[in-house]
Amino acid sequence: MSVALDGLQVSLQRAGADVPLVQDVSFRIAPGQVLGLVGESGAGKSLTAAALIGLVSPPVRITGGRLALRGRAVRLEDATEVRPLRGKEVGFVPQDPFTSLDPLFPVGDQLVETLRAHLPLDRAEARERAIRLLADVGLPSPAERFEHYPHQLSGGMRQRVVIALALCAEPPLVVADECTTALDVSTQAQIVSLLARLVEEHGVSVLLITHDLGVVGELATEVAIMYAGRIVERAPVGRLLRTPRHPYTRALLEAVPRIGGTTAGALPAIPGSMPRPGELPAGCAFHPRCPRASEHCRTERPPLETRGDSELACWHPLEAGG
Amino acid sequence: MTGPFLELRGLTKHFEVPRPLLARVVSRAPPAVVRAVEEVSLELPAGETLGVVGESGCGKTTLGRVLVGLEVPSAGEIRFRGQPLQGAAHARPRAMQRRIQMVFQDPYASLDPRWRVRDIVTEAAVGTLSGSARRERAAQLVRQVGLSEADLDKYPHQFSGGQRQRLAIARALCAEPELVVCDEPTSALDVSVQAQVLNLLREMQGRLGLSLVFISHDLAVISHVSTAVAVMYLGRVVEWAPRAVLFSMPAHPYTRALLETIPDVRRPGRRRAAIPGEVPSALAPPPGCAFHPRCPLAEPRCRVERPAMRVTAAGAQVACHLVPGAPVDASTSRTGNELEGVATPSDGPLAGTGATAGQHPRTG
Repeated sequence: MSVALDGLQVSLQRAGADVPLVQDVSFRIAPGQVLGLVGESGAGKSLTAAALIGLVSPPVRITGGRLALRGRAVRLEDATEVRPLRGKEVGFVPQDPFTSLDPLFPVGDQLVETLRAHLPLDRAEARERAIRLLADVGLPSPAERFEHYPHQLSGGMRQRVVIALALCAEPPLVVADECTTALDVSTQAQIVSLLARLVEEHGVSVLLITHDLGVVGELATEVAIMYAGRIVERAPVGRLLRTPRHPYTRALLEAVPRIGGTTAGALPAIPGSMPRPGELPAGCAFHPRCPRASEHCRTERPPLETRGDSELACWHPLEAGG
Repeated sequence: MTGPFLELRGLTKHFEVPRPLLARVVSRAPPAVVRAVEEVSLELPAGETLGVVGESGCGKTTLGRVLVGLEVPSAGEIRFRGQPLQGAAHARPRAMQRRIQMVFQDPYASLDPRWRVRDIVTEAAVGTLSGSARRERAAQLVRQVGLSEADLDKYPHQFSGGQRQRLAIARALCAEPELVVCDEPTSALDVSVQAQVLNLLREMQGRLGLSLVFISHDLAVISHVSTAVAVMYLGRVVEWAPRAVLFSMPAHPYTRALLETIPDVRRPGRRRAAIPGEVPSALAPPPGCAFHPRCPLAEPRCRVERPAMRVTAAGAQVACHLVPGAPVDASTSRTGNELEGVATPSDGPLAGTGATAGQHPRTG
């Protein structure tokens, strides 16, 4: 059964006014599918993750949004409804494996504790299950690792433990927030293939939040690009990376240095920077940096329109195929 | 000028890690030694960019810190325009200190939050310029890196990450350096901002004729900025080659594996080949070739004998038993250690790169 987010709104309460941070973000992820949510710092992608696991705290507030999973809908603005989902219905893989494990307890104990919080297991059963999980995420000699403290594990192994924690209650949705960013490329490749295997085996829906388009290309089945709090383009991964239609998507793809690219020319950088929340320009938020912007773009915001299997918010999209 | 612009010979940096008190007192264990940089020999011609690439813990940052004098080398030699550079930065002649500057990775940590921009960027001119001359220099510097004079009285927190890195570059340029060591200058930035900062560095290099040592874990960024690339693994350089040679004909198995692990935006759905295992601890590097436990081609002798640097037909220097090549000319080596030999500039890795300052866009 698909996981669906509908109309997420997050805002910052400042001096009596509401500053919108995330506006009208909706998506649907089928089991075994990975939606890559891509954007630069400040686009609102990590806030979207925080909203799904109930980690939004004042002065930031969820003002709307509904999460449908396992056949029921949860109102995200109500923290008492969201919190019980964390771990059990929504697994979370955070960015930093160094701070997400308790340094004072062996990793095995942390797994057992999480398992027993969500599933009716006694200590021995939970221990057995935890060791199986550690083996499942590719930790060598799991029974031995079970007794190890986080500092005795390398960054890659810690990230494997964190993935085991996220999956232990078999949640239908896993939110992975920049889960490969802190890792070296060689370790990153290992974690990516581990995630790909787990998604397939467990049939979970994954929301993969990242700024790294390369990782998205490997893992995601679909990609949504966020800019200034809104999704501006969503499409199947191959189409989006090969023939982006939103000028921002294309600019983002072109700004990535590539091996085999020429050193003679400058990189096509996007001029300026993303507007700060509360300072959004009128019309399309990207228009001050967009080479295709017209008067229409400066005055009226393009709606996110569905076209076939994709969505796009742009008055002057690039030709499909161009 | 005698010799190359920048020359490293057998440069080594070890750190001692004290053992727990009990082990020290009872068993008299000597302190453990982290071999952060081991016998690194490299050259950099004036006006070019040497990319240094490797994973965490390979010693690339320590190498940069030794170059600018933030760390004192344990052994080996740095020659800058033929003159030996010894000791820490403050022990170097002041004129020499000014000629080598650094841009750090984290623009949130490298700028003093209580200083105004004009003081930050002209810190290197304290004592050499009068107040009004300093003010003028600050204005010139911020304009040069694409900020405005109105920014001079602001504090670092008023700037975005990319703008802060521009300030860090302006600060490095204040002393009119000849060599700038950039340690992961764009790793903390978003891609669109990364492109802006890389373009700025390139523009400054073309306009001011700077030489750069560019340290990064990102092979794509390294391939974009470098004229020659040194690949480090566990403190040692395993391959050093002109950019075109390294990326078209990578010779060392580690370089090839690293290139395989890079995700390619242009090829969605491709699963990259992961390197098995993890980088071993620099406290206890494996014997023989340090890469042998992870190397798909490892032979018995790789486990016992450390490979010497050899020059390949393509003009790369590679430390691998399985890569054919001529021994690096050891006649110039002072200690007789084969790894410390230095290629002659005519047939060394930098020959034939064809890179000149003329390739850089000149906007000034």
